[in-house]
Amino acid sequence: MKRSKLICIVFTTLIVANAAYGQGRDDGSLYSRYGVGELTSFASSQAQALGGASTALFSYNYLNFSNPATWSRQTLVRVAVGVQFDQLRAQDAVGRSEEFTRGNFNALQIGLPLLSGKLGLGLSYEPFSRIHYDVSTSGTLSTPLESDLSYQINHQGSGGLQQARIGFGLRLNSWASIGASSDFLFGIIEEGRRSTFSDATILPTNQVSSTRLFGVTPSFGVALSFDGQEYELVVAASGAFATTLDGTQTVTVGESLDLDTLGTSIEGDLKIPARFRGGLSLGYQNRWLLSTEIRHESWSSASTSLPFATFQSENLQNRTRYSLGVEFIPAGASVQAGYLSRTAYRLGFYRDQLYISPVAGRNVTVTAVTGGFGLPTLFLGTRLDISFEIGTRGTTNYNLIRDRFIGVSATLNIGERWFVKRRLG
Amino acid sequence: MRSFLFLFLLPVLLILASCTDSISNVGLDLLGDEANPQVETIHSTSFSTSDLVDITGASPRILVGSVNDPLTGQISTNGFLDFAGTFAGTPSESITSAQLKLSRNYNYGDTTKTVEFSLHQILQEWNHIDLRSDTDLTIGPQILTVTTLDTLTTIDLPASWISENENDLRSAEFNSKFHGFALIQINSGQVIGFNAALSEFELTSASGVTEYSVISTYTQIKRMSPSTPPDGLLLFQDGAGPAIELNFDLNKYKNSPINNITLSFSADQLASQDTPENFLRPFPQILQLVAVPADATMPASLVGQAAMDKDGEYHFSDIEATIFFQRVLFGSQQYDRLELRSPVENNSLNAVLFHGMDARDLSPRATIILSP
Repeated sequence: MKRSKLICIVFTTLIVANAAYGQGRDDGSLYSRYGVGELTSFASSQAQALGGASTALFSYNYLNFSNPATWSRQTLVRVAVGVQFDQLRAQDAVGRSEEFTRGNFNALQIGLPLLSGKLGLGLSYEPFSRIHYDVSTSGTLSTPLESDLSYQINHQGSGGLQQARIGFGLRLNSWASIGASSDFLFGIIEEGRRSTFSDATILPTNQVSSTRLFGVTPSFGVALSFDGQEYELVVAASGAFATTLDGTQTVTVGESLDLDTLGTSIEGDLKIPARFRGGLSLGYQNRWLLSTEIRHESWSSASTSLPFATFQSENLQNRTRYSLGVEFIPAGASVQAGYLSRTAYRLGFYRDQLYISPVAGRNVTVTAVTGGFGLPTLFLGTRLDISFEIGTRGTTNYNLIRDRFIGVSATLNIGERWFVKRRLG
Repeated sequence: MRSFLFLFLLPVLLILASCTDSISNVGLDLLGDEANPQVETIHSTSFSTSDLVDITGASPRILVGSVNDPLTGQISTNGFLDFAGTFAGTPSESITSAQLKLSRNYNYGDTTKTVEFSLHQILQEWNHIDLRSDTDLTIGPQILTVTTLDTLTTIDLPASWISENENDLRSAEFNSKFHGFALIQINSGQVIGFNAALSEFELTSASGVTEYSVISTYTQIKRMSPSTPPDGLLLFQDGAGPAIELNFDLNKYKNSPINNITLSFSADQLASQDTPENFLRPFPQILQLVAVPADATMPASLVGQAAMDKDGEYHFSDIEATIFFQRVLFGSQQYDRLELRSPVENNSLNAVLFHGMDARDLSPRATIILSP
């Protein structure tokens, strides 16, 4: 594939994917209102189909952004970009239900082998969290002048944090790799409230709180691999240090429904806790791959000096996520076998106790089954991955919401050998 | 490669086509009270009389007379009028008569009592804009005295005064040479008001009648004895004062968007209307709420105005008042205190007794609808 074609594909896909991301705002679960939003992570399309169990995954065909140590073994220049389609059905304790659909940009990932198989560079841009809700309430009020004043209030949230990463993975010897990266977190969290009334003498208001956050956090990773004749066992761990994001919150209130009429701006910070994950993977004959992972994030220690109504300590708790996945490629490493034999078949599972607790003391847990296919292409090192995810989030007890969701994603993983010195024999 | 790209871009296009922007009400119970607007009532942190000297210049009504009100005390008022126009005759034409016609449109006090005042010529040039009720104007000697109880009072000026002022009265420069009349009260049982728009100064000469219309007005008001409001009630009186100043502690709502604020003041209608026989003490029909800045050189801001309802309450709930307080809460507007005032439009001595801060539910209060 010509290099210019590759670049063209990447940019076109990025633009389309960003458009999809933009379209997906303002619709989704009310859970995304809490904390910094619904946390997302996209290590690789392979890992996504394996329940997210990614920390200990080395792969020829995929970049793994859950652990920078795995970038050390790169041999191809690699670009991955993905989008996701989600359908969600939310139901609350009183039986109200609603369906939402949205499209999102998953990630853009780039990997460069600086020293083939020894030192690799990783670059990525992906969402860190997403906020997308739009709920409406209506009712009547009693005031001194009016006993039956009708109102409608829309609560809207959008935005979230983005993450840009750059780092290196280094293979120390045949069995140990380490890696580190700098993760730039930035984004805007917007919360809006639009109030309208049946009486024209009651001022409709449109309040928008827009919080701009920025910070850098270092990440690290280590992976130890033990090769046998037919198997490879990898034990790995990675994590990100706690960081403080600098923030500016601007509240604008419109007299009538216009914005920017009145506003205040305050400076503050938001502390993101340390996040750790550990994993184990076992490969057999390049056909079977078993991957497990556990994550822990100490969100109970998160705090902010900014006036976030939904970032209170009673609404935050530590996050724990367990995942497990299996991949099967009938042909193993063979490139001569039939197409279906070279396809990767994946199945996974995860259980995620979320970091938010909208009702103080009550956990919100996600349980999901994942799966997918890694479709080979005519180009060695390039695959198109289709993944799916079916699960539930939360419960209808304690005034909480139960989301049933199904997600389908498509990720293009392009791998090419660049910087090859031509030799005359 | 083309089919490969198509395979990838197809789901992207599907995603674009499938995005929706729906509004839901699922999970509203999670939001709790946050989901709904809140109605909160706070009571004033201060509510007292103020020594505001009312602006009585440029009002379409002038007052004259005096009253000894068992509630509001003894009050004396003097009216001032200036005229403008062009003499209809020739500059040398003799004026055969001069009449001042005053049309009454207001009574305060014992309506069976006559009003007696003396008529004087004003000797100084004066500007009635923003003239306050304690201002003194230089006047000449008494021209005559007038006793009236009629709706239309016609005053014939004596021939001696006409001949003495004839040159000025028929001058082309009448507007600058003649400064009007002062109606100085002598002995009255009530205060009456004259409608400036229906009052005029008429000169008769061989050529016909010249009508000079009122161009400037002013009422001087003096309180001769203090008011004696009952305990727990606060007197508000137009013209003579007192006005009322007050404040609310709104710090709790700083930077909060509000949808409405209604400031309510309850009058004791029975006590306000407890009068001797034939005694008229009207209520102020309209009151203004004004925000006064700490810097006395800065103008006050009109927050809103309210009419008394059938229950004797004034509710300031205009959308302009809400916008004003919204700006205060967001720091783009400041004030030192609020004042209740009467509009300058029509001079009166109208009075009302307000329930004070100890009146619980009837005390001055602000009801706020806010979206927290």
